[in-house]
Amino acid sequence: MTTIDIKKTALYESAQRPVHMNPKKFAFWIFLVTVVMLFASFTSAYLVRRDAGGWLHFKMPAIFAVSTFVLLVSSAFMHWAYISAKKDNFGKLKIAIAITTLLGIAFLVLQVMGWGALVEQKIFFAGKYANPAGSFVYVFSSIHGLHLISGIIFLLVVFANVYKMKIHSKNMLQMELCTTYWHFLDLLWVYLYVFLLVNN
Amino acid sequence: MAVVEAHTQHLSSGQAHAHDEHHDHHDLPWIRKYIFSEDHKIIAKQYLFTGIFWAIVGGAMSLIFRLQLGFPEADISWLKPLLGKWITPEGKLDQEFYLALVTMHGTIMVFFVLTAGLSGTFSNYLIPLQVGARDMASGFLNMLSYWFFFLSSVLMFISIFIPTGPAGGGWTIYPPLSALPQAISGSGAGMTLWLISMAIFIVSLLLGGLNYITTVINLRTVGMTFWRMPLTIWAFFITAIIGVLSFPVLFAAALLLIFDRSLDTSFFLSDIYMQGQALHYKGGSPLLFQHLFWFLGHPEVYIVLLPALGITSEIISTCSRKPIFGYTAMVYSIIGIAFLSFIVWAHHMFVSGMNPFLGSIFMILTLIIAVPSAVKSFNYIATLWRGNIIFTPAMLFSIGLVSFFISGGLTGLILGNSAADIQLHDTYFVVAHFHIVMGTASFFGMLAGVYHWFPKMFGRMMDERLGYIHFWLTFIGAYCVFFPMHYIGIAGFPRRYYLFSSFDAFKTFTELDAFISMAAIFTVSVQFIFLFNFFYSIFRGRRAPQNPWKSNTLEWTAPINPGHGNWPGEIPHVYRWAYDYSKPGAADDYIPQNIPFSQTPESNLPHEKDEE
Amino acid sequence: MVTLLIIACILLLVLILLLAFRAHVLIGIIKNAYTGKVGVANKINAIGILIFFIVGLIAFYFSYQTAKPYFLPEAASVHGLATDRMFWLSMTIILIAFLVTNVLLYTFPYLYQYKEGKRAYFYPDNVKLEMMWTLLPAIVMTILVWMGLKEWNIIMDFPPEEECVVIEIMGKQFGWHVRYAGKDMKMGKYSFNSINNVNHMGIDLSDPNSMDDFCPNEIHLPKGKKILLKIRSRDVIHSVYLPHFRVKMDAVPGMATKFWFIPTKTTMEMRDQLGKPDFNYEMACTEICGKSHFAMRMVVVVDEPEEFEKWYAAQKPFVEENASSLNLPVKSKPVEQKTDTMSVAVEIKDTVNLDVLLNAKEEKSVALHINFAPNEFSLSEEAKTKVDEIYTFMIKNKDIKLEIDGHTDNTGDPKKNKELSEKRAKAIVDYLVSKGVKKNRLKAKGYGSEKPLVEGDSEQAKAMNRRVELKKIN
Repeated sequence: MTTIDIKKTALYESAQRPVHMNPKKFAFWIFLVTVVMLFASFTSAYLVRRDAGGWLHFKMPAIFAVSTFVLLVSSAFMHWAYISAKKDNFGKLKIAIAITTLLGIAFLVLQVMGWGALVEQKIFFAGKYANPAGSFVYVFSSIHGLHLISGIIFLLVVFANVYKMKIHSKNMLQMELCTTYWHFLDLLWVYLYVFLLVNN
Repeated sequence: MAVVEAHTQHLSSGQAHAHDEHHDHHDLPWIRKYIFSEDHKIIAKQYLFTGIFWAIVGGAMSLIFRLQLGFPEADISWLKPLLGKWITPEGKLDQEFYLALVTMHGTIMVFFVLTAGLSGTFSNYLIPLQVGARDMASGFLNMLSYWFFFLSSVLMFISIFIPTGPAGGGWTIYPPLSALPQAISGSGAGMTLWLISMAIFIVSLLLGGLNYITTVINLRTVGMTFWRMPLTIWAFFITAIIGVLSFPVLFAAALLLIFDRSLDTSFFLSDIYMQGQALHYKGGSPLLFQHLFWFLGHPEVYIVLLPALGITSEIISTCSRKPIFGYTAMVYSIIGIAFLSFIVWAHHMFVSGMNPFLGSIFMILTLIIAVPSAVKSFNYIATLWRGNIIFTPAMLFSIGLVSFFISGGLTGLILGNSAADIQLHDTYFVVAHFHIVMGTASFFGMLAGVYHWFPKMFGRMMDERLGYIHFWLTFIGAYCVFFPMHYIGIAGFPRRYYLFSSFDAFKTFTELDAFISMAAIFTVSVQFIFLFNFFYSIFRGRRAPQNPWKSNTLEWTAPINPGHGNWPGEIPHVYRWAYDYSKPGAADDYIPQNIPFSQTPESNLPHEKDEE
Repeated sequence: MVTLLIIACILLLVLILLLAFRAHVLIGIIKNAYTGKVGVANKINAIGILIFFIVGLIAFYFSYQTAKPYFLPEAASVHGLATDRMFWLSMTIILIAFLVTNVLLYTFPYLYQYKEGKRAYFYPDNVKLEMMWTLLPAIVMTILVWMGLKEWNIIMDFPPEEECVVIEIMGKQFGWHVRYAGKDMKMGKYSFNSINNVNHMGIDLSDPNSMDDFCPNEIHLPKGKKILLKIRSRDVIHSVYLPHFRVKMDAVPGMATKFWFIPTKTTMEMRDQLGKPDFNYEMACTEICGKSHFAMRMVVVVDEPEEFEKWYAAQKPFVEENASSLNLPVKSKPVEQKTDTMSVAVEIKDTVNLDVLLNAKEEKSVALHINFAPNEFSLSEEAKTKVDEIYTFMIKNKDIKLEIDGHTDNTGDPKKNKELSEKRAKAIVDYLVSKGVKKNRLKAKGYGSEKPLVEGDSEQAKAMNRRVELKKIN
């Protein structure tokens, strides 16, 4: 490293590092791109199928609004966890993560209750009486739900690492990734929910 | 001074960070060194060996169904030990198994050999070595990527042996045929395994793609700007981006198909009456599947082709001792092809019943994509002009690739024309087109890559004479197999036909079909020369010199058998592009990328004098 | 024995090749050939490339001349002539591009092969040249697109239905059913739910327009008139392909598709032109649809318009052809129908679900109607197809044992009937055994006219009684 010319260093350094981001974080963002593409396919399929006719229009049960709200609140707590970690405030950090996790679980429970409400409305996922309009709602919410479960697992791993003193202001990568993922899942659900409201 | 320190610290943190992770790798147990390895070079070889295995399986399958097509009267009971009940008592190939073989041949060749085997091998091997990184961004994810591929391979392999047979609905698996076990026996458990295997395969590819993109963007060495990267890296990089954007769509399609198959949904199924029963599916659209499938399917063929084109650029340039002609245009062509590949998918669906207006749009877009492809071909030819060409086996295969690319690409212009496609869709004209432009071209790219980088991978040289024989026999054989198929296609013969004799219109060309089958048997047999050469040379090949092809790229500056971290000391810095071959005034006919301009005053061009 | 000999020969050949290779390596070491210098092999490869090209071009030319006579004859439709012209024009254009690029690709390696002491020409780029050869293909592409769009728009511009002869084509595994609109020139509706073993196409029989629709076994087309094909499928995706007319359109379950064209040559004219008195236009399937995808053939006949009108008028409506099999109230039309004691129309199924035998108690039987020629007991091709279903069923269910019972109607000598029915049952058993079913799983019995299914002398009853029954046995 001692033979580097200053001018070249500045020039090349900015040239090779167009993204001043940790490589693992960058890779994580690309992973998020793949998830976006997956749900983009689902929503495209929804629109293409809808235009082909035979589409059942129905109202989304109100409980989905509640679950969406719960998820948004959980994001607020996730943010609080992030700030606490940056400030090395481990007590608050643990509480924040715990609440975020619980709210995430609550979200999932509410989603399942939403499915129950759909069934009561005679909107089914499959079988003789199902219509693609209904099937898609179940697909969106279940695949998102699976990703959310992975987000919860991530939260639990982070939680364990807090206890092992591996998360602190000088070692924020995992915390950043977890926070980004959680907010992403939240925004993704908001997009899906609004999409369903608008297009149904 | 502080600025310098901060900068050097920033620079070194990236390098040192990666290096630290490797410090404790010296004492790894054997299983983590060679099996669950996180070293990109080992993983690349794992992909290569698995790819070779699948090429043998896929090739063998093609021989079996070519036997049926070329010699429909023959009694093939002698295959009973291998195929068991799939040979009928009359000594004929079972009709449903024929379709299963055709399906699996396509799936195996496109996905397992030419995507995983080609990209997986060369992206993994070359990206860190050519951009100057110690390893991929995440060795762990890279390791997972291979082992997911392995798992997917195991599942796909098992599916070949189950009683109801492997998937049989074509590699394109259109529902309802692929959704209903009663429609064809392969749509039972075989199709289920296919879908699970592919889902895992997609995960593997995405993990790999993640690594390739991140490494190219974040881990290049000092001086390796984007515009100094070799074309191989550009190709692998753009290919990975295409993959990351398109494979999730296949995942979605497969998921919805799984729901239709196993959970009674009706995404793709409607109004079906089969075996005396009206099925309950209502409201589904088979065309929806086709749109979702081809949204991946078309970019997929470029995922197969672009790495081969990148490899060819590198080899033609090195072996002609000339810079690749039009490097910038080549880069923009790759990007152009990648972008356009996303908006042409429905040219596979001109006669699917979709809105004809869409047909017009997709025809226009499809014919546009011919332009960057043409530019690439011209650039290859211009690179040969006034070169000083050395015909290594790799070079021969690269020239062969250009030949196939031109031949197959040109017939694409006919097929992309929707009015002409009416007659040619689903005929052997299409089979000829894609086998030439994608199958043999990419296959040749893969072989060229193996011959060229074998010395780096294994520290030994492959035998050249066997390489020459392999090239000539394969080149002639491949043209003999696929060129005549154009005639059969123009004569209207449909694809995926077990027999042609049911129709008066298709009773001709029996001798040509037999000829094609014999050429296929010949060409596949010739590959054993390569296999022998490959495996023999790993153990007993001549020891390779440091830079056998006198190439400019960074991988040749690493030790002959690179270990963990690739370079024992500092990673070389890069000062110039990868194509300073035969520079006027230079001492030698090549100047590697890591030679500073200050050391080559005699050959520096005017704008390079500032950098001395 | 022969196999062993062949294997031994192959092994010997491999051994010889291996030894040759080893010798070549050793000789190379002795001759110090591995100096890294470019040798004779380079020259050989260079000239090989050139020779390959020349030989290849010659082979290309000769193969084309040999193959040409076997291409499809000139298109027999209006749009087909246009698209064929466009196809060959495009092929000419790409042939020119092929020749130009390949001449360069194959001669440059020869001309610029490695020469000791020579240096390549450092020529990294030329923007003008790049522009030129980007622009040229772009112009050629534009021409091709323009030609193609013109034709495509003509083909996809459907004329009003009233101007066309409308034919509905429905694909299924593994054949086609076609329907014409009949004398009222109005095609009846169809409903997927109406499909059964008689009403293959699901014609909506409550729609008055369906009453005169007819379903012939071959397609007839009037020369020079617009034909509109309405295409659908009742199971998987098929594809209607009329190669001589350059017609192709997928048949999709759940979605109707269409294609229109104008035939230009009658079948007789084609026969004359080709010198083939038994030539027939054919329709094929061209989307993978399962086991017999390759065998979905239907004959297509092009008539002079007057002949077509004659043929059209002579066709019997579907409902009349199948009156007895359909659950239709018999209309008060002067139709010569024998009144019989059986007033309930009974279905004669042509395919049966054999799976009911699987979990059934013994004595449960399933009746199949397999046609035998009078007093014959050998199986026709059509009969074999039906017996194949039994074969498939027995292969799928490896443990089941079946008794094949032959029954005849009450015409003729009862003793002869019993013998005949026994021979027919045995013929079926023999056929199954020849296909690989174990003999101990089958039993043949003949009952003659002893056990009629339906009493009475009507044609209907007799048809019902002529049957083969499958019974599960232990």
